[in-house]
Amino acid sequence: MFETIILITLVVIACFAVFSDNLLRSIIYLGVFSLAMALAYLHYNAPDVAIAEAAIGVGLSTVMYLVALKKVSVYDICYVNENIEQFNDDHIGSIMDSFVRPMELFLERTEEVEPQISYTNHPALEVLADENHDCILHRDGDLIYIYGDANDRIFQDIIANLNTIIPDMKDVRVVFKKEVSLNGQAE
Amino acid sequence: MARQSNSYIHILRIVLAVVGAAVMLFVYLNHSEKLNTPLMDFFTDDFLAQTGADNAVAAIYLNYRVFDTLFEALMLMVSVMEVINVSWANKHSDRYQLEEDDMYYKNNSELVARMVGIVYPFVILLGLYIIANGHVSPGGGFQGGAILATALISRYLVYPNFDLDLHIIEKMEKILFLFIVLTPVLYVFMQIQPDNTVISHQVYMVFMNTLIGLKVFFGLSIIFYRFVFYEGADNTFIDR
Repeated sequence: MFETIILITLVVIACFAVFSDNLLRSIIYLGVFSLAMALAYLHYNAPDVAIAEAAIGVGLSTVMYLVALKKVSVYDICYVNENIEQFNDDHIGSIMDSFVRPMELFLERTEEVEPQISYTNHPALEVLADENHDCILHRDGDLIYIYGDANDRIFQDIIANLNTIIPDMKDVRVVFKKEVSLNGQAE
Repeated sequence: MARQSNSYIHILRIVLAVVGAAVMLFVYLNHSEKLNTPLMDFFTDDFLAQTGADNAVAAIYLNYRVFDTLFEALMLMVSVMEVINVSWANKHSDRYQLEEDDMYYKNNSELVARMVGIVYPFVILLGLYIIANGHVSPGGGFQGGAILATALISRYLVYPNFDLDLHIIEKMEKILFLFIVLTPVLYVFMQIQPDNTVISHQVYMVFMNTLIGLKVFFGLSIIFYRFVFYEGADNTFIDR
């Protein structure tokens, strides 16, 4: 009976840890999972393993995960190109070398955040209004608009260092998000 | 032609995998051999008199199979050296200096600080108890060392500064490893024992557990502090 309960609890807590929306909660669920695991080891007459699991699973790895989570921040970039029917590797490659890679390098090395790029062909205004990206690259003809929040320190740094990040910035325009909402449309 | 031969190889691989699985299943389902338990008898018959440990697990990892323990200790030491010498921060150390500690204080929760302050001595006590009683009750050097390392790491939550010299700790870990290799080589392999009694064996057990516990404590602390203070900076200004 005890065995059944503890094993089912293990599976349930593992599912909680995997499907939780919040990483912090996942870490706590993992700690609880380790605790239940230690109980299971105890039930199977392995107290040595149970102590090791309790010391490492509950203590060490939980604290390690918490500190790691505190350190890694994700910076979310969205690339919008409305003129493309279906995105493929060529379209992404055309902007990759000139724009995305230098920006990723800048974010990683100078700002120390994890860059995360997504691509879409939805209308830029829709993306701006509905989705909460840190930075949006919008390609319209030859011009590239960079949308971002004026209060965001990382975005300020990107704008300030834009001439070092991107060698050819003739076709680049910077738009702060507040202006967009005031005017109702970009530019 | 090339594509055709590729597909043949592909089919051949699948057939081999299926045949292998069938053979495995057949052997597994049809085995009739009954083994006795010679190893279990050897390990559990008379371990108290032979090794001085009340705990059969300690008897196995500190006496019967101490060779395994040596390589486990070596593995932890190699991973610590890897973390220190091959880490990403080493190449960029000129750009990523240690930060001054004043920026950390504002993040600390009063609740966490006070609770950890209360629990801290008990955690250390528990770690020492588990190390010292490794040969009697469940536990041992590794578990006790991990608990001690947890105590040091929880110190980081309260008072996150960096007043430890990692290089000295790394040196001490290597010296401890030397002793960990030397002690069983002399005591178990070469049988240089002052006395072939339970007391003598117990002293050996406690000594070995202490060495292993300290080594694990140093190793895990080095790994943690290295990751915390060198790998990436604390992005406190991003409000997420």
